[in-house]
Amino acid sequence: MTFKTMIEDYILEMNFSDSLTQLTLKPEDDELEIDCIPLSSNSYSLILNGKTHYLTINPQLQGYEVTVDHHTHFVKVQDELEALLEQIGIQSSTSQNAGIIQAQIPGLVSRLFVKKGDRVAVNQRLFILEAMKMENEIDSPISGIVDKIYIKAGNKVEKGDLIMEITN
Amino acid sequence: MIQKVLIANRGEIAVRVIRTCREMGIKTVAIYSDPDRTAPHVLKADEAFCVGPAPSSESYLNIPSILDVLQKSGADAVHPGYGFLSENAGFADTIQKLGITWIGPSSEVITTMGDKMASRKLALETGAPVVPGTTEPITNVNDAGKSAGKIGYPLLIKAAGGGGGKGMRIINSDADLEDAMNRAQSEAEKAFADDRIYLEKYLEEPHHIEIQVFADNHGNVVSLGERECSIQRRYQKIIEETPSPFIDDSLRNDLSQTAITITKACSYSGAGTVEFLVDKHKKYFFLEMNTRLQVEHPITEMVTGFDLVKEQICVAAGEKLSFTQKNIQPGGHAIECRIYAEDGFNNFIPSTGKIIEMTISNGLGVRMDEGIRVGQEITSYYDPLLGKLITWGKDRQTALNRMIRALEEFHIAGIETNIPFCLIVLRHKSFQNGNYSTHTLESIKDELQRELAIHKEERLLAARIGAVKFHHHPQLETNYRGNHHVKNKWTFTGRKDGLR
Repeated sequence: MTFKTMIEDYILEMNFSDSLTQLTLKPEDDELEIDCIPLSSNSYSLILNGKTHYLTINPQLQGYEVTVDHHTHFVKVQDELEALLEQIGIQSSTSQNAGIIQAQIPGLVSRLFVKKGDRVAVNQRLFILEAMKMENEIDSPISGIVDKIYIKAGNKVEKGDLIMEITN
Repeated sequence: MIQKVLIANRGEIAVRVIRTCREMGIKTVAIYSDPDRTAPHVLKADEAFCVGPAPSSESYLNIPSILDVLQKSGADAVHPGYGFLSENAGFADTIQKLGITWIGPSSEVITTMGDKMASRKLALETGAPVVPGTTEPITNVNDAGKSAGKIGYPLLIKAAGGGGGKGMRIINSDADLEDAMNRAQSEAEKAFADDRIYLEKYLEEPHHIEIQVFADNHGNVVSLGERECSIQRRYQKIIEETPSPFIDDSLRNDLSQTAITITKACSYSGAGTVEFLVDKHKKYFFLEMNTRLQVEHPITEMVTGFDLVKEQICVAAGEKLSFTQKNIQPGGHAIECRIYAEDGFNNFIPSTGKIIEMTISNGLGVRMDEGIRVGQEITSYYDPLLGKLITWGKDRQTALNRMIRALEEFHIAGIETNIPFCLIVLRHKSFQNGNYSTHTLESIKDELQRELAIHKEERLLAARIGAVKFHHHPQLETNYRGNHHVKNKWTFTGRKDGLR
């Protein structure tokens, strides 16, 4: 069985045995033994190359939030059928989204420092998001031009809400 | 003696207070906001009452609603915890006037010491060294500019109405002054309903060291030693330890004596903390006094063996302190890590979500003061502090190794926590050697970030495997529980005969 997995835009093709107990990454490589046992509905114990890992899985809309030994990674998974569907034409969005600024936490956008059409540099402050009694300054991840602003100062936002788009 | 305590707080500190009350045979009354109906402090208390909707201003800070619960429940004492109404003199005053025991110092002391400027004046009068700064609130940029010129940059802007880093800003030049003042004022207004701000000299590589003091109403004042709290982010502590690896016995004694003098000067009662800044030349300055229990009080409990909440309750009930200065012989070393719902490697941005899995650490010398449970939703309405992990060891290295071990065992899933961040900080040479100041975290930021890359490939592969496994076979849980629920003759017979 072949699965494609994606973490931060890096896609890895993974060939598993039918029982998911063996994994081959490259044809010339040896098979890796996968010992992955569920502990509860959201957690696994994984022994990989003799090393033990504790995994928890939090399913999300577009993939899985997997915590491995305290570190959380967002993983998208495609099985063969899903990969085929995508090839036929249901193209998933590619990752030109570095300049899309979303609210990482729910809160209140108390101040905006840029307006549509402004040129911004990396780390230039964009707005203040108030949450958990703190004023969080949100800086630009890229340099470019503020293309769209979806909110006004004083607006409340939910986690994941679009705030602005910056194009470079 | 006190029969029933209303705990005007939530989260880990409410749970902490409930635990001691239960041990003392005192009934507990929890208050909660709508989303906190199933929070641990509500589940653990004997009684619980809703005080309003999610926003703190309408629930945990809603004095009329809390007074209503006080009457309904018949509680004869109020423990305010820390934060929320703990330093609200008006609330303390109202409680005392109702003839209810306030577990904390008098409203007069809260007024004086809670006001950062008034407390600076009081400390100066006792002869204690104080960080250079303005003694009156600054209101306009021109006056601020003049004062700034006298004190010299860099400077700190601070809120007069409270602590916790709220409203605090560093300013390096006149150009930054106006913007920083506006933001500090707006944050201070929101956090403390008091927009007064003042300026203070920003010291070189300062250590934040505080002394735990305790006073009763019979004239006894005791120092329970220091806590080193220099590992901070956004001016909020993350890791604390006692004893401090930075100071020697002579400085330790000076700090304790100064703290006792200030505590006596303000006619204090109960648990209090006198905070100092100690610069790299080991010169110390009084910073402020917190008229409440501190978040990090457990490390003092671990080395002294005294339950500070129990002592608070007994002092409030009019008893004498159960210890004298001679009884305070701290043993071993204790460290605390505050477990926050935040991403330590992404500007400490708070994380929200539902806790889907949790394994709390255990074993010799490990203590967890938690305010969370599996299935709980972490919202953005309240402080992101989930709990505190505390370890004790016979010496610093033992306590430190134990903390690393305990953090490694501690798993929370569904939200981001600062556990990986704490682990990397504790393993860094500056912490291992006990050689750090309040500026250290900022200066080693990039080194810590690089540590993240270690074992990353392996973790990523493990994450991919886990995701595939789940994707292929989403786990559906069926829990067969045997036939306990089937009533048969045997159990009836057993009950009749009193065997079960």
